[in-house]
Amino acid sequence: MNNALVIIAVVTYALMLIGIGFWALRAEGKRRGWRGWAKYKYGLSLAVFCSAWTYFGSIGVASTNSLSFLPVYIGPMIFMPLIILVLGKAIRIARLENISNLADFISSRYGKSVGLGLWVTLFFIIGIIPYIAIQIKAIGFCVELMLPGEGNALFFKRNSELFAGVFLALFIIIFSTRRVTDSGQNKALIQVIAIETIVKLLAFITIGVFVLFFVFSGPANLFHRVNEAFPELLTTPYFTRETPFNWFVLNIISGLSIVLLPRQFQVGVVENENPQHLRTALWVFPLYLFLINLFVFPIALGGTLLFKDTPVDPDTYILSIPLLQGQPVLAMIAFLGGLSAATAMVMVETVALTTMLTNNVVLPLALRNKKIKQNLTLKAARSVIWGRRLGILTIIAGGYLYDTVVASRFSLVSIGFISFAAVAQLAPALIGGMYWSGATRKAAYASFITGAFVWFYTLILPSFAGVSEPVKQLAENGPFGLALLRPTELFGMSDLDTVAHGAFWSLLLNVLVFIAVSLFTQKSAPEILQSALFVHVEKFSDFHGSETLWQGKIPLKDLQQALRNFLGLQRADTLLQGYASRHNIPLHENEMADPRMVKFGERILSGVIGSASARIMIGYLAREEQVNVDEILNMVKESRQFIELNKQLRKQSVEISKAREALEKTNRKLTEMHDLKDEFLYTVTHELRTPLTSIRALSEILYDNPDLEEEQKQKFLQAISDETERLGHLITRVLNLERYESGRYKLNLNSFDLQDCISEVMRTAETLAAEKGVHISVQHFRSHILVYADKDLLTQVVYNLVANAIKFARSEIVIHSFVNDNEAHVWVQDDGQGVPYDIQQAIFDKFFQVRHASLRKPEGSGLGLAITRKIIQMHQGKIWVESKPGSGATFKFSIPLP
Amino acid sequence: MICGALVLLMHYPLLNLADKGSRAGGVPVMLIFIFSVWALAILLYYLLSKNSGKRNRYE
Repeated sequence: MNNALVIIAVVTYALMLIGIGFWALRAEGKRRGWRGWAKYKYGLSLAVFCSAWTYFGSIGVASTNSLSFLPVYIGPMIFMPLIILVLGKAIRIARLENISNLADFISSRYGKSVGLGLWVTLFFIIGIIPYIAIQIKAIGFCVELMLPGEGNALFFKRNSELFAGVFLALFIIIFSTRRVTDSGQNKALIQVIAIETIVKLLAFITIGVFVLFFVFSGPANLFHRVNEAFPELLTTPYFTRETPFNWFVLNIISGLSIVLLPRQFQVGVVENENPQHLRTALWVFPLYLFLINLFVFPIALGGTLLFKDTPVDPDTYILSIPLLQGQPVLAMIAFLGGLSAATAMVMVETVALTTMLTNNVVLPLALRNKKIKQNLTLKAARSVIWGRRLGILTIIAGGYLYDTVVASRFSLVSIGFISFAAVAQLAPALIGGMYWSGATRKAAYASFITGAFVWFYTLILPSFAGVSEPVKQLAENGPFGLALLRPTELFGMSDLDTVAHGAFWSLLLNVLVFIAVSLFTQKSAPEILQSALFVHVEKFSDFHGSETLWQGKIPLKDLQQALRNFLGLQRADTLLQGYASRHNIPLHENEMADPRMVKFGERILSGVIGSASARIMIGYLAREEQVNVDEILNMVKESRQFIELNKQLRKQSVEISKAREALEKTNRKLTEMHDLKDEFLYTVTHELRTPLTSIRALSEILYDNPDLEEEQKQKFLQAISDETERLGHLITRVLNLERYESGRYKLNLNSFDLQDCISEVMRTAETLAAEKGVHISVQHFRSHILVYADKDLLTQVVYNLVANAIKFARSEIVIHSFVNDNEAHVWVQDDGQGVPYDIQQAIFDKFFQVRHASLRKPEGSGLGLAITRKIIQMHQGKIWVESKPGSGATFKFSIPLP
Repeated sequence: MICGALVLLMHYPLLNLADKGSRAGGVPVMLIFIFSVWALAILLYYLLSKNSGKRNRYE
């Protein structure tokens, strides 16, 4: 290809990235463009997972080892819902603790351990630098293929990897270290990554479509030609070459890498703007993986056919095919896609590793120096920025050196898988720590050391067998000749490939050690707090439990100054004042800072310098007293006692409330009864006064008029006699009712036939009914109903009901008696005007007729039905009325049979 | 549940049923099977994400 064209394309592309980056920087904090873009941007940024390894390496694997490229993408696809759950929880934790990198996350979980953060960071750097190296290597061979290497271009070609490294370092420095942020986010960089992700996908699909449909005229033709050229390639089952267990192990470590690779943690957790975006990522990311893998196999097979018996590296087929076909534009597209894949990965990975390096290694070590802590000034922020710039240069330089010195010996995929297996060693400490509060710092250390050692022993050591004779001997015979400990066939396991073998043993031993050590070790005080926060993050979203355990004191002005040193005057004051105003905390510079303010300050500092360094800073400012486990346990114990006391108080309060309600109820009842008594006395005296008034009036007439005619005298005397009888009758009824209600009346219980009572009542009431022109009939459903009751009282009940019916019946009364459900039933049915629904209960009350004279004809004392109900109740029976107004009434009672 | 089903479909022994070296329209059946399950998983994830979105709106 034309040298100038290639260089112009590369420079244009680089300028385009810089332009997007600056546009994104200006757009920060402003709502611009398509509002839905943010959620897709998040899903696409996760696809930084597909680096040059995917773009070039997958094709290399597919051409030599068929479908072995797939587990790297099938693993994340299968476990995507679980990955989303883990990322969701990690995002909540990271926001709560203001965590800005993966090592900080692990360090924070285990009591903000400086040591753990430091070792994890160093391990990540060792494990990931080779991965960065393969991206630089990919850029190198892209340039090598694209440039013929004549004239001035030769210099560019020979130093392409160096130029790429310098450009990447400068780009990352410009867009991620312009200022210190308290969130650890790099929105401009993520915008660039999302665009690059689209570029590499489109480039890959373009070349895929070209190879499949233009070079080979469709899939049927391609596969037919492959079958002709390599008859065994497509007809040999895949699992005769690879073991299913190998496939499974690679799926697992690939799934884990979506959370555990520093760049994945950076884009998935730290750079997440809204947890709701996870929902979109759930399908966008697997769709991206699907699309980018769809053409891997066709391009690989196409390259295998086209470059049969040539030394062309299969990793370069995506570039070599368009060049071979004389398609410079397509080759340029493939080249830019490859650049996108490599640069995006290097940018994010370097940012993540640099943050780890400065926050978890450099700053904690620096802050241990008393002089540095004492002399922190407003220049601290600049020191952090320059520290990060230096970190970026170190990481990129490390990648470049590894590329030029070591990486040339390995394929892209082998290095990538070794990195995957390395980061998987953090899985027990990180994922276990998020879901198991029993996990301890000692267990995290032990498992991490075990995993790292087995990883090195099974995966790194054998790769040096070719350059060192002792290593070769060890790899072939095992240490001290112990074949069971051979690094590539540990404990005799020989049917797995090297990567799956190493990943399996390192992860298995790692997990076992993690569980065992956690079970046998205790957590320190900070670990207890942090484990509760991580495992039960949902309970801590609005509340910082550890504030209650704050023992030190910091003058507010010192806290303010510390924040100003790292964030600048304006930002620090805005944050502190905002928090104070939201939580109604007074800000008096000369006073001690509120514990919540201190915690908030520590959170903010965590975002800038990492949680471990922030802890050191706050501890120094406060000259914090160390809280030990016993103190924590005492506090927990006191809290429990307080909670228990609180519970008891609440219980007592409920009981008191219940007692008060019962008292109020009783009081209401007493008041009601008092009112009833007053009403009863009033009614009785009123009822007594009426006949007494008549008697007195008639007696006075007789006394004052001795000359009255005999007939007249007899009439008056008869009236006096009637009134006296009525009076006596009323008094008898009142007294009876009082005896029944007071319990002084003793039932005279006997067995007798209920029909006898009814017959007796019929005889007594016959005359009265005849006078009123009412006919009474009886319907017996049984000839004898033997009951055990007070016969006189039960007769009185039947009589009262019949007498009551006679008063209201128009012409007919029917008495029914029967047995049902072990109860004797008597119904007295009349054809009178009936009883309105609303008073069917009330008519059994004392003097109801008197009080509601307008409802039914007020004949009698008004005590008949009240006495009747009381007698039935004394026999444990029930009495009620059923009536439709205008259609008569049926008074019914039942008493239990013996 | 979806993860469990996908693990079963994408691993031994179910995956081996598609891995007999046979072809459909010239394309290896194993390849068709893997990408079909993959497409189905994307569809399921899409529906899952939409449903969880609706739930969130009404909660």
